[in-house]
Amino acid sequence: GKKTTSAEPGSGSGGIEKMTIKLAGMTPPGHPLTVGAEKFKELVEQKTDGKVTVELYPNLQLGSIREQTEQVQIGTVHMTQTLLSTVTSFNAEALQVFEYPFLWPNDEEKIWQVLSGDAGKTALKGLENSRFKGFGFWAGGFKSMTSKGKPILSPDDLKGTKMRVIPSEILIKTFETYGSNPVPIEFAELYNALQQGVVNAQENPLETINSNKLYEVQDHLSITDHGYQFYMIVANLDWFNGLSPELQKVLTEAEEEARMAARELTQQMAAKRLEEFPKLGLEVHKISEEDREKFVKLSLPLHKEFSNTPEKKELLEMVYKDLGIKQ
Amino acid sequence: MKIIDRIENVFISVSILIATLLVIVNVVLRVMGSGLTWSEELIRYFLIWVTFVGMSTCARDNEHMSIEFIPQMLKGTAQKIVLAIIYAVGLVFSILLIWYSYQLVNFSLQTGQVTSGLGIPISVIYFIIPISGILVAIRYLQQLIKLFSNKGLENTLN
Amino acid sequence: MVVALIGLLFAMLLFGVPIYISLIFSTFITLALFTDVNSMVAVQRVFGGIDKFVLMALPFFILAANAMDVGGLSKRILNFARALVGHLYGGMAMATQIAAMFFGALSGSSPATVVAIGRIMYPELLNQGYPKKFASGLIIQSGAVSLVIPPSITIILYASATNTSVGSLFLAGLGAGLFFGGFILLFIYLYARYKNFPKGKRSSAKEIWKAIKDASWSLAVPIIIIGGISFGIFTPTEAAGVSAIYAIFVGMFVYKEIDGKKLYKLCFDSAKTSAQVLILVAAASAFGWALTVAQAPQMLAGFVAETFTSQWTFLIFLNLMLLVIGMFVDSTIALVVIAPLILASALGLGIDPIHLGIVMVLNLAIGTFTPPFGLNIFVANSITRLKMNEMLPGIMQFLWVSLIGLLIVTFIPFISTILPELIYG
Ligand code: NA
Ligand code: NA
Repeated sequence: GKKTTSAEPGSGSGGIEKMTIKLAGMTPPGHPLTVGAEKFKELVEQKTDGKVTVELYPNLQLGSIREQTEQVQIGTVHMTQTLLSTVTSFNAEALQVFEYPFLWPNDEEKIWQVLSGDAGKTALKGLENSRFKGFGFWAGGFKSMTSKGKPILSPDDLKGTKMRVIPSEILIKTFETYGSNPVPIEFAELYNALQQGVVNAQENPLETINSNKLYEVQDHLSITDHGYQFYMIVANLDWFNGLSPELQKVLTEAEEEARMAARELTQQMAAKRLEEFPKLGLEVHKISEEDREKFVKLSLPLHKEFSNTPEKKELLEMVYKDLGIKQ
Repeated sequence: MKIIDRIENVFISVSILIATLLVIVNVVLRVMGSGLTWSEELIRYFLIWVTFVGMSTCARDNEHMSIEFIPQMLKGTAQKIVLAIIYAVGLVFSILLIWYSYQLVNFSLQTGQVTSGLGIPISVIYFIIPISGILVAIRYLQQLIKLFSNKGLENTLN
Repeated sequence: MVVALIGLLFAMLLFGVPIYISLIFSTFITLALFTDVNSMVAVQRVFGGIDKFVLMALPFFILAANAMDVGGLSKRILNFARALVGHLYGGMAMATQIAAMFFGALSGSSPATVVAIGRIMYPELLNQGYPKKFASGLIIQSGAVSLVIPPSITIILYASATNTSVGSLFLAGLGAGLFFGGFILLFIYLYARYKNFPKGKRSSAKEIWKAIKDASWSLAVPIIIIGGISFGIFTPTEAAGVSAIYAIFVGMFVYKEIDGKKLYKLCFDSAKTSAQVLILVAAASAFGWALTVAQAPQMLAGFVAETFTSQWTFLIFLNLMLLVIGMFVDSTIALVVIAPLILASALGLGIDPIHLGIVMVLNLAIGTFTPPFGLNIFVANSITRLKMNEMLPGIMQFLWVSLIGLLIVTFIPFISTILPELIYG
C-alpha cells in the first residue's frame, strides 16, 4: 500500500507534500559529485516552489560511506551519494560486475549506452531487494594509476610495485594477476603512506587524485583506464514509495538532471586535471594500444573467475552482449 | 557471576593481544611482498569487541569516567540515594542499548549486509553490542544490590 | 532539540552519571522524543565512531606503554633522560614536552601521545617532586601539538575540504607546531624557575655513557617508531602495534621482567584502559551526529561567517566558536563541517587559507584537553587516577598558556606562512 493521500488539496505544485529531505554525500566542496548534489537541491526546491527543502551533508559529515549508506537503509537519512563498490556489500554483490578490470572500452559514451539498457535496468531493479531506490549511475571517471619513480605503462612495470588498493577481493586478485603487490590501506592513511613509501603506487579516478592532493606525493600518472568508478544516489525504498507520485517524479527528474550535469562536469574536470597535473609535479603518460591489449588479455579470464553467482554471470553476459564482445 | 567475570577478563586480554600480533604479521608479510586482505578489518573488529565487552568490565570495576563532584560532596543516605539513581540510570541505559542494538542486529540480518574485506555478515559484528548491553545491565544491577546490601560503598568511591 | 540534547547531557554529567552513558543516553532520548529518527542509528554511530583503523593506534600505544613500564624499558629510558637533563630547572618537565612533540609528530594521535609519554613521565615527575597538579596538567596538554606537527590526518582533512595544498599546510604546521611547543617549553622553564622546582645534580660524561648503554634496548623503541615510519616500513598506526610487541619481547626475553602472568595482567589492564577511552570516542560520535543533523555547528558557523566583517573579530569569534564546538564534537567532524562554511568569508577578509587551516587545527588541538569533555583529560585520568577537580587547576594553567599561544599564532600569520613561502615561494 502506497500512501499517496498526503497531498494538500489546492496547493500550487500539485499534490506535493511539505518536507525536508536529508541528502548525505562523501566529497568535498567543488568536487563534481558535490556540485551535482547542490544542483539536485536547487532543482528540487525550484520544482516544488520551495515546499520541499533539501538539506545537504557532504564530505562524510554523518559517518563513513558504508555508515551513510546504512543510514539510508535504516531510513534515518533519506538519500545519500555513495560508491557503487560500497553498495555491493548491501546484498547487491552482482553490481561488482560493472567495476571489473578492463570491462569497458575507453569510450565513456559506450558505458552510458550499455547502462541505460538491460544491464543497467536489471542492476537498479536488483537494488530494491536491498530496500534501496537506485536512480542511476553517476560518473566517477576512469581509474588511472599513479606511482613514484617510474610510470606504469604495462603489466611489466607493475612487477614489485606496492600498489595501494581498497580492501576488495576483486582489486587484490586483479593486481596480483598483473604482478604487483597489492596493499590494502585505509583512505585516511593514504597520503602519508605514499609520502613515507609504505606503498609507492595507487589507483583512483583523476578527481580523487586531485581532491586528495596525491600529486604532491607521486611523480607519474599513467592513464590506464583500467576500470570505471561509479557513484550512485540511493534513497530509502519504503520512504520513496510512500511519497506522492508528483514528488517521486520531481525527485527522479531532478536526480537525472543533476546526474547528467555532474557527468559532464566530471568529463570537463578530467580534461582540466590532465592539463594541470604536469604543472603540479605529476607527469602524465598514456599507455599504448599494445600494452592495453596485454592488460586486457590478463583481465578477461578474471571476469569469468569473479562471476561466481548466476546473477553476476547474467549481468556480465548482458554487458558483453551490448558491448559486442564474443565469449 | 564469577564465571562471567572470568570470561570477560580473558576475552578482552586475549583480543587485544591477537589484534596486536595481527599487525606484526601484516607488516612482516607486506615487507616480504604479500599482504593479508582481511587483517586490517579483523584488527578493527577485535578492538571494537574489546571496547564493548570492556564497557561491562569497567562498569563492574567502577572505572568509567564521570564527574564525581556531587556524589563526593554528599554523605550517608543522601549519597546512597544519588548513587542508586546513577546506577538506575545505568540500568535503564543498558536496557535501551539492548533494545536498540537488538533492532540494529535484526535489521542487518534482514538486509544481508556484509563487511567489505572479510565478507562476513555485519549482523555478526553488531551482535557484540546487545551482548555487551546485557553484560552492562547485569553490572549495574549488581552495583544496585551491593549498594542496598550496605557493602561496597567505600570501594565504590575510592 | 539542541537545547534538550545539551541540557540533558549536562544534567546527567553534573549528577555524576558516567560520561559515556550521559552522551549516549541523551542522544537516545532526544532522538526518540524530538525526531522521527529511529534511535538505533545512535547505536550505529557508537559502533561507527570506533570503526576506524587509525583510531587503533590508541589501544596499541596503551599496550606498548604498559609493556614498557612492566618490562623495565621505561625506567631505563628515564635514567637516560635524567642523566641528560635532570640538572636543569624544569629539566624533566621539558623533556616530557620535547618527547611528546617528537612522539606526537609521528604518531599523529593526540590521546596516544598522552598515554605513551604520560605513562612513563608522570610517575617520574612526581618522584622528582613536581606537584601533582602541574605534572598532570603538563601531560594532559602534551598531546595537543601532535595534531599540528606533520604528518597529521587532521591537516589532510582540512586540505581536502578547502582545496589547499597538504605539502604547504604540513610546512606551516611544522612552523606553528614548533613555535607552539617552544612557547609551552618557555612557560615550563620560567614557571620551574619561579617556583624553584627541584633539580638533580649534573651527570658526568661517564655516567651519561653508562645510562645510554643500559638503555640501549629501550632506546630502540623510539628509533624503531621513527625509523619505521620515515622509511615507509609501516604506517603510524602499525608502528603502535610494532612497538607494543617489541616492548613485550624485550621485557620477556632481554630484561626478563615479564612472565606469563604479568603478560596477562598487562594485556588485561591495557584492554580495560582502551575500552574506557574508546567508549568515550564512540559515545561522543553518536552525540556529535545528533548535533550535526540538528544543524547546530552549521548554524553557528554560518552566524560567524556572516556577522564578523573584520579579520580580527572574525578570527577571535572563529576561535571562540571552535572552542565551544570542539567541546562537543570530534575534531574531524568540526573540520569537515565548519571549514567549508567559513572559507569564503575568510578569503573575502583576506585571510590566507593556509594560515586559517593552522589556526583551526591548533584550536581543535587545544580542544583535545579543554574541560569538561576533552578526551585527553580522561586518557590522562587512566594514568594519574586523580579526580576531575584535582586535575582541573593544572589543566587550566596549561589551557591559559595554550590559548595565549593560539592567539599569537592567530594574529601573527608569519609563523605559519614563513616555511611554505620559503620552500614553495
Ligand atoms: Na608530484
Ligand atoms: Na603529527
